Amino acid sequence: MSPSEQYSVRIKDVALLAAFALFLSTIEYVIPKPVPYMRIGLANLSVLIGLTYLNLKEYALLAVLKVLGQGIVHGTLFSYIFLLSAAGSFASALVMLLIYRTASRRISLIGISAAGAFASNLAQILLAGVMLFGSAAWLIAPPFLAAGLIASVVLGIFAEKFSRESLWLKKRRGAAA
Amino acid sequence: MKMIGKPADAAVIAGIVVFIVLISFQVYANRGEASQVRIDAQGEQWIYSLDADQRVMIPGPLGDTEVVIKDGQVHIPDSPCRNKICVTSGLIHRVGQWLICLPNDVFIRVEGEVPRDQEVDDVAF
Amino acid sequence: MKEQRNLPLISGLLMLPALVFQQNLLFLGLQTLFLVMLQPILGKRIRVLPNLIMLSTITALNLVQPYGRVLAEPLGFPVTVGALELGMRRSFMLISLIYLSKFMVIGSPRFPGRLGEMLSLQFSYYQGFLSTPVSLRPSQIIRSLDQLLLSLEASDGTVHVSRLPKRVLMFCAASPVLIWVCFAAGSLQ
Repeated sequence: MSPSEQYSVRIKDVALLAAFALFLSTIEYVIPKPVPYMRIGLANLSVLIGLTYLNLKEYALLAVLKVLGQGIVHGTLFSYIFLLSAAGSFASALVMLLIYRTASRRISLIGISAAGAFASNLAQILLAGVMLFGSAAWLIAPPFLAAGLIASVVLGIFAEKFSRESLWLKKRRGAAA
Repeated sequence: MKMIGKPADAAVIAGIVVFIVLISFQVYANRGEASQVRIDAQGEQWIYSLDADQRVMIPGPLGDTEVVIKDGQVHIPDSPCRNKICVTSGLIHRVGQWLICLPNDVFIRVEGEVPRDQEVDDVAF
Repeated sequence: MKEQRNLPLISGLLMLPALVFQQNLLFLGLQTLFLVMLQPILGKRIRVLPNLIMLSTITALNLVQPYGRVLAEPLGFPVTVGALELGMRRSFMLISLIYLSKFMVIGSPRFPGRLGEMLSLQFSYYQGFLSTPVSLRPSQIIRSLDQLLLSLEASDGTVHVSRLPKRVLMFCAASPVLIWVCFAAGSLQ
């Protein structure tokens, strides 16, 4: 029996979305960026998609798999970078979940994406201050947060469009209903 | 084109923009330079933060002068010089204050941005 | 077979404390250099520029808080020994841990438990993503990502594991020894 046969369709979906996140972060890795340390946060697209139809447990599993998978593939599992990435991802996943659960009628994936990226970047700056840069971490905070805001709004618009047009998601939501 | 986005999106984005602007001011404009302790001895210099407790030995012609930074104040607990004027000079903490040990060629001063009110006093003496 | 692919992971875990507790900056630098040089030996490329950027930015930002003897004061900005050492220590630590991690996952290790199985499933899908061509043209990107998800969901992922080459196994044994020798030398000084 192959490993994938033991799991329900939904659990396999979580692995698929986690792999999607990994794929997106690999794409991001090869995109040349004007400033080092600048992150677009493409992988957040998969979390935004997961947010719209996974239950709490599946969503948490997605966040854990995303963080672990990135750590393994990018070879940062046992470095500070992994702690930074984990802190950022979990802060963002939590903030996005809270907003989605309390206010999804009034807010779209655009605002959720922006808030998630903001939480992620703030968590990373705080941690980078402690571990790498000292108090000078705040010097890079404003451009870092501003770039993150722009990237996350663009990604949010994309996620919103994707969640309306995706046949895969339509199928999933149909199956869940 | 269909409108995407909902009212609260703008609120969230505006909130983040305000935060970034505020933090930019905090970081770049209003950057009150923390006070530092600068030590001169025999042509060399040392710099330490006044905020972090520290005990350093500064080499001079007679031996090591001990400099202690504790609770935002600087003093010389011991010095190899004969008259020990530096030791009896006590504690310094304000910008512009200094300690000196002439025999051992050690000069210690507190540097940094002078707070507004203090500046007025200095000009009006 | 299963044990063999976990060997680099175990070897790396053995080295980890010798890096984290290294007090001597010079030997930390040597350890870092060794771990970076391990990459070409194992057949991977080293990207020099990102490492230099990391080294220089982390060091530069640490110089902002002066500490210790002043080396030079260009344009009124004091470069102090203590701050320079702290910055270099932090960058070496980061770079060495990144390369150690790269070494540890070289055999696509299998992690224990249910979560480990989920990770394997995730990686099999990931392989699928990588081996399917995607159009990144703006007009088609949503369609093509959607198609990708639909096609992969139907696929049944199996993980391909290739045997680790002899020299990798050799370095699994030799590297911890070298790294610990550097640690011992650094502690003696």
